[in-house]
Amino acid sequence: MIIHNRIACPYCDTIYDKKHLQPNESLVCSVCHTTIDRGAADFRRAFIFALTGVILFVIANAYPFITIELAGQQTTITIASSIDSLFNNRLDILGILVFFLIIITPLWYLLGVVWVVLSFRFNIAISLTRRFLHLMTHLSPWNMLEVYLVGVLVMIVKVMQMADIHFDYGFWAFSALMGCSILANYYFDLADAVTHAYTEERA
Amino acid sequence: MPTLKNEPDTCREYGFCNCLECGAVVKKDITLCPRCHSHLHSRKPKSLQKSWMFLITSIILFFPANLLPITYTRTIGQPVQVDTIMSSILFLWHHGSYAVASIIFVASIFTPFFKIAVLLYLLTHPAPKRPPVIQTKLYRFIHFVGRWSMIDVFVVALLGALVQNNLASITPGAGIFAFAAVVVATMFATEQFDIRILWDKYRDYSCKNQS
Ligand SMILES: [Zn+2]
Repeated sequence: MIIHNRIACPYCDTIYDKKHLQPNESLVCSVCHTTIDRGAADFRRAFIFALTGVILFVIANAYPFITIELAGQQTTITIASSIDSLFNNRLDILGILVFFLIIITPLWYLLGVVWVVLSFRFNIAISLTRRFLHLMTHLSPWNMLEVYLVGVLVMIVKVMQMADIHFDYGFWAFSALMGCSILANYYFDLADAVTHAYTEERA
Repeated sequence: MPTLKNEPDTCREYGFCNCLECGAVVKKDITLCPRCHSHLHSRKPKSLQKSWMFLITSIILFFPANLLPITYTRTIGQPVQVDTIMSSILFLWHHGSYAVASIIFVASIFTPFFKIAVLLYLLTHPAPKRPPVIQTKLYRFIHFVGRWSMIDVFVVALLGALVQNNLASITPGAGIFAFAAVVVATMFATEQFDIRILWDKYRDYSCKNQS
């Protein structure tokens, strides 16, 4: 049923012969110029960055994030309390959305990378790993760590004129977390991982 | 250019189906992918209708998102300052934060507008007469930039939490909710759209002109 030696461009449906890519080689669709297979996946590095990311994630959420001093009064927030303020202002659905975008999805994604690489390495529970991978594919546009950090920076510029700002441990952990997340995403190629998850069995 | 070719060069012409979940190329006569057990469709089902639905939703919400207040700023001894997305950008601009004002303008006003425009264009011009390479690039681009529009939502959430004392306070308004809904709706509209429909129409057209 499966035509194993063929691969198709998901954007223009052009069909190609599958061939094993050398390092630094990628498969680019000659019709619509989309990169179909980047061939850049390095699961070991992805694992290291994702695991570091998980640890930083816990630190970023456990410690205070930012403190401002406004006319002698101090206010400290954590990432959670910034989401909580949306609930307090009766924007519950927005609160749930933000919680999903900056807590659930990024954490799920990082844990997903850790799990997938471990499962490949030790050949355990491959079918569960596949489920994980499909879910990660659907969730990937909703992982908004970097967007959140830009939001933080914009907010700082806005508040700077009226208040003093102190960055707490949570902020630095979060910045490092974002770096780790970007690098983990770079080295962990979802399409490659999916291919890997399905070809191991036949090999 | 794939013209004057005797051999078919797409999945559809072979009668195959590209499983978007796991990347398997499968013979079309089955409904479940034998590899990952997801439902097989040669093209995303009802993609045009679903795309239109989310796009119209986002166009309708685009107005309250830009007209309703996103923040109420209360400072002691001053009237309540009501800000919309545009007025908060102008405020930053007048205070000399040109870079940040530009970032928010691009993320909050230009990007959603551009996404809606591109989707409208793709949905109303589904039968190109030349290879839809630029359309594919545009589609992939709006897919990539979509999430960056969320910046303002995070800014408002953070401001609302941080500026909260008896001298000054910032309260998020309903506009930011409509705005987040616009971003989510355009993201759904983008994901539901199937750019391969344009390629199908173009290939049908160039086939007809050859014979
Ligand atoms: Zn292509």
